[in-house]
Amino acid sequence: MKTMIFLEFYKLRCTRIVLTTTVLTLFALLQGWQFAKLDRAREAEDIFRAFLYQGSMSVYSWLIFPLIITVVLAMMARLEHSQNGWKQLLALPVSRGVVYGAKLLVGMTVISYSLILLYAGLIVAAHFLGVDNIPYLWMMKRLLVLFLASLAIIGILFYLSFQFAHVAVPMAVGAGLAFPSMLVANSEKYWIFYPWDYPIVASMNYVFDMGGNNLHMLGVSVLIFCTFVFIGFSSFCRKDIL
Amino acid sequence: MKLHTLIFLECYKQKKGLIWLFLLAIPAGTTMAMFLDFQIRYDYLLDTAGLGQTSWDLLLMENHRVLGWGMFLPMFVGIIYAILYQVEESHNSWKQLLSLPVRREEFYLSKFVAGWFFSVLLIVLNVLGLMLVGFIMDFPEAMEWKSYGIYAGKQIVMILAVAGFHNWLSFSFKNSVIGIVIGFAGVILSSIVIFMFPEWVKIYPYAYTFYTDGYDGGNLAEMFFYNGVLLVVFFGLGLWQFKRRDVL
Repeated sequence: MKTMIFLEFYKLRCTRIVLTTTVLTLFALLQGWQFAKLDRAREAEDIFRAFLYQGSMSVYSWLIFPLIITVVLAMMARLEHSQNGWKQLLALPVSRGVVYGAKLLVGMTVISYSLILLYAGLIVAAHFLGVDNIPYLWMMKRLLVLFLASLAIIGILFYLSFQFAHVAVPMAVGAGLAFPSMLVANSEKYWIFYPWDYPIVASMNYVFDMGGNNLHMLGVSVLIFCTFVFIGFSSFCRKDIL
Repeated sequence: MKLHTLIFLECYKQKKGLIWLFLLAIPAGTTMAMFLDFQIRYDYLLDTAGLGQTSWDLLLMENHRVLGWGMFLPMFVGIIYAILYQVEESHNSWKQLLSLPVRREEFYLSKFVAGWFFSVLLIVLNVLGLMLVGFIMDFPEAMEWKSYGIYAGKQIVMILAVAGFHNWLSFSFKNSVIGIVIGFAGVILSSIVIFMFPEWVKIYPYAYTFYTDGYDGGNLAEMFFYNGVLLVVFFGLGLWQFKRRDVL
């Protein structure tokens, strides 16, 4: 397993996945920075939570993070789909479970890297803005909940990316479903039925009314993730390599 | 081979392709979203509507600004071009195509026009979906054909620069994901440019469609000019590169 994970990371070196993740995350920080700079001039209170964090999160959780998940998983799958890399990979003496697990783990690590980068970026931005009392722990908890809430999206897109050889399928689904998420998030009743809303609601739960569904959301997210990983794994084990 | 034959061939290549599913699924999704939105909060929207705004105006605004059609449209255009060029890459058919007695300018133009045609179809289906919602909801006001026609027309024109850019990108990169990712990044950045740096909007083609609802902000006439300039620049650069492409 360790070797497979190492190999997956080695493959990533030849792609622009990490660069793409970094650039897209920095866009969120740029928006938060601009928000905070404008409102520091007005001497607003709690610049960090109300402007830097919320400014970054309003675009990150709605648009950037779901699109990062889409891009990372679709590009990782494309590495094998193009030139039928599956044939070479699965002909090696490795179990399919290890291959599948390693890919999932590496994909999730790259997605987590985006959250860590955002965390670090927010702290650096806060220092530059001269913000005292940075809520390190509060922010860490929020980002952890955001990650758990996005598991449903990760599970669905991981399944689609490996199931369909055409890269446009996961890309179109990921982008197409991220598109109405802000509209649905405004509904107190129906957001729970739409997994693409979970990151928005989880990261800005003081903006959106969760109607007491916080724990339900995390439970549903983990359940969807497990279901799709299991279905994907079953299908992957039966995959014809020719 | 005539240009119109090439355009027809481009559409024919997609006969059993994913593009039709994409062109149907996205407008079907927007229609469904708008229907549910109006089913749930039509009264609220009417109560909070501005003076003189009809139900049709509200529907258009909800679609364009709240659902985000105006912001996401360039991304869909990028996906359409990636699908069009993926056909050639996946079958490695550049060698065969470029060996045919067809002028490269015509071939490049046919790809551009085909992509634009599919984007127009996407826009028209979105507008037809909105009309359907209005008829199902039985809006009390008469249908505003003119404003909806202008809305569709503005979008059809204002996607031209983005279409030219993605036509160039999609043929430049063998990996079609790159074109789509640049489209994603362009749309994300447009949400920042529109609200934080409005003075840059005129030279940022991903932001143009946001202003096509005609309600507020942005100087569409100025954007229209830059849209034309950027189209010529992107198309010219793409064509120059395409003509230098090695067929081997």
